[in-house]
Amino acid sequence: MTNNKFEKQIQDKLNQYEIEPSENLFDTILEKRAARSKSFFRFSYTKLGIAMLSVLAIAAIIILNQPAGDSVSADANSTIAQSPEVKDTKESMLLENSNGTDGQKPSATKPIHKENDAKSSLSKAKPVNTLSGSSLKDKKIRNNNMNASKLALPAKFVDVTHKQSIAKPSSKSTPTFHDNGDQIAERYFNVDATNRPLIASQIHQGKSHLYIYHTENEEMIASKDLSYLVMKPLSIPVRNFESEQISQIAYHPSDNSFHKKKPIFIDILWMSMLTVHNANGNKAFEADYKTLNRSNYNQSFNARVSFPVSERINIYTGFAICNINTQYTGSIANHSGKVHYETSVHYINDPITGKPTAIQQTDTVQNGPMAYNFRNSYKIMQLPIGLSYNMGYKKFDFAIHGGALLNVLSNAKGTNANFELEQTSRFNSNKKSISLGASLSFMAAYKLNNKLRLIVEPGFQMYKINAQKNGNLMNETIFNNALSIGLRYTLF
Amino acid sequence: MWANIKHRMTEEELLKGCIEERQECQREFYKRFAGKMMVVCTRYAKDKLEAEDMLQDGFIKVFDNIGKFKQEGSLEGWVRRIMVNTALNKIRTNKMKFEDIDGMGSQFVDGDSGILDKLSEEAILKIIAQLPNGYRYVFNMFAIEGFTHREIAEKLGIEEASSRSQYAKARKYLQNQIIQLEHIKL
Repeated sequence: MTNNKFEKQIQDKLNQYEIEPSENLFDTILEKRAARSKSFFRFSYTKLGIAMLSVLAIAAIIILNQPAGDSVSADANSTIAQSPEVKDTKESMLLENSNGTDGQKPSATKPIHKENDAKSSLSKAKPVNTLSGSSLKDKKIRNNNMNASKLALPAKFVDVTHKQSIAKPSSKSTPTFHDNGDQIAERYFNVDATNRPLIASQIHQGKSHLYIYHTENEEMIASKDLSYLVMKPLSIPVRNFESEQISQIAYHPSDNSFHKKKPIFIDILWMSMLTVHNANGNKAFEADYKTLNRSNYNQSFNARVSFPVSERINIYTGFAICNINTQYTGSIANHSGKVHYETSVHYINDPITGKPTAIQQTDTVQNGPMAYNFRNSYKIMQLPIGLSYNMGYKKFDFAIHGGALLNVLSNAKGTNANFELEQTSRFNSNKKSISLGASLSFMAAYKLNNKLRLIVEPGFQMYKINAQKNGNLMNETIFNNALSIGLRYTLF
Repeated sequence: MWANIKHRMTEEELLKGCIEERQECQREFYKRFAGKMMVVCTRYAKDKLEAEDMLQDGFIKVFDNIGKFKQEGSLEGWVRRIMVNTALNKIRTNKMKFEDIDGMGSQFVDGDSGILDKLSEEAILKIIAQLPNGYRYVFNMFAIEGFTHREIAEKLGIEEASSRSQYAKARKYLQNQIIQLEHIKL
């Protein structure tokens, strides 16, 4: 029925034939692919989850494995030295009797120091940091042994908040007692977070709690067999605090797994940036790029978590989602003054024949400077990691943040400019690439309440974008002059 | 884009580059096949715009799935298959039209007659384009792509017998048109 030669001939003819599609179709294909690809956020969540877990694990290991002696910083020592009353105090303890009542006189719960040498400095020590609070009134305090009202205060803290009680100790009893847990908590949180005490160890017996915070030399204390306190067993309700008999609670030096409490800061920031950018990596065009204006504004959203590693040093990490635009504007006079020809074709209806007739027009044009105005856009997820040095003054916390930036480029699109040919073309790619950078910033945080602080943070960032991998002719180096504002939440 | 493709890439290099999402390779790949694939799409599309739509969707599929290409058959054949399937997916929504074709003749175009040789590819495409949609699809699939009538019936959702009869009609129509065109030229 069919003559196969007919089909064969048509096949041969058409299979070799080519029709040129529209010029920009390939660019459209790339753009469509970019738009269809996995969203930036989905990508970032996966990577972010892994990165955050890794950093959290590392931070936890660092914190938990820190030796006990490290918790006393030089700063803490110097502060202790400033207070003559506590000069020789090597340990600080809180013995809290939960049955204590308001308004009671402080009883003689003075720690008994069994010194081998009566002349030793320890025997002269006046432990001022032993506190007793009537925390039963406060449900929160009662339900949480680690509550601030039960915390012993370090020398510095006492120096700041209870100077009067230290300067004028009771003639009968050296320890200073604070019988209002709320007040203690209030005073505790009034101190900037970096100066709050670390709890080195805690012992609970019935309703009695012994908290020991940072010591200068735990081994020395342990060897001196001190820290024995006597109190009445608490199985019998005691109404009169003064008549208490105190049983012994032995202090055992803590091992490395002792519990410490230091605040973790969670910062949410919006960053506005004045971006100055350099295009490099292709020597043919570097000089031309530099003649163009290369600055514009960008913004990013950041989340940052800071973990304490010592008294004043925090390690921080987090992530930022940025859409960095690099705008190039200006004109380049590479071919200025040269002559070129522009040909155009118009169709008119021939008045005689009535048929359309092509009219070709060629103009001689003298080149002027070529004006450029194009923008490249990069979707970047940043993973910062670094250290911060923390300070405090009244209601202000200050910190200097410095560290590395890991930039994950997930999409790049923009314009390639060939200044030699005076042509531009588009690029758009989802190819992922990673680059490194650095950041430095100075944070000032104003305390709004015990948990929240308002952050203002000027800073500087520098990083490179490997845009050549995404079809750009040039790589780009980004310099961001940044100003961040946000909130700091204190997790304790 | 002025990426330096200093030498003509081998098919293997091209594939590797496309799998790595290197844009210069994707561009080269596109340049190598776009013209031929545009002809494929043009045969199925009602106009150039629709053909470019098909071509665009087809290349997106090609780039998305290029890693799945097993180097057993020809790359061009694989790309062509994707283009045809993309075109068929696109036209599947179009209602098949098999109305009577005017100008049906009984003249016979012999492959050896040389009439086809004298016609340009563009002219052949124009004649094919004159066929109503249903006939055109069947003719393209059977005569050029080499599908069987059973496959055509499955892909277009029509009866196998219908595919056969429509192909026969389309073929006769095309032959008649070709002869008429030849007479006009003479």
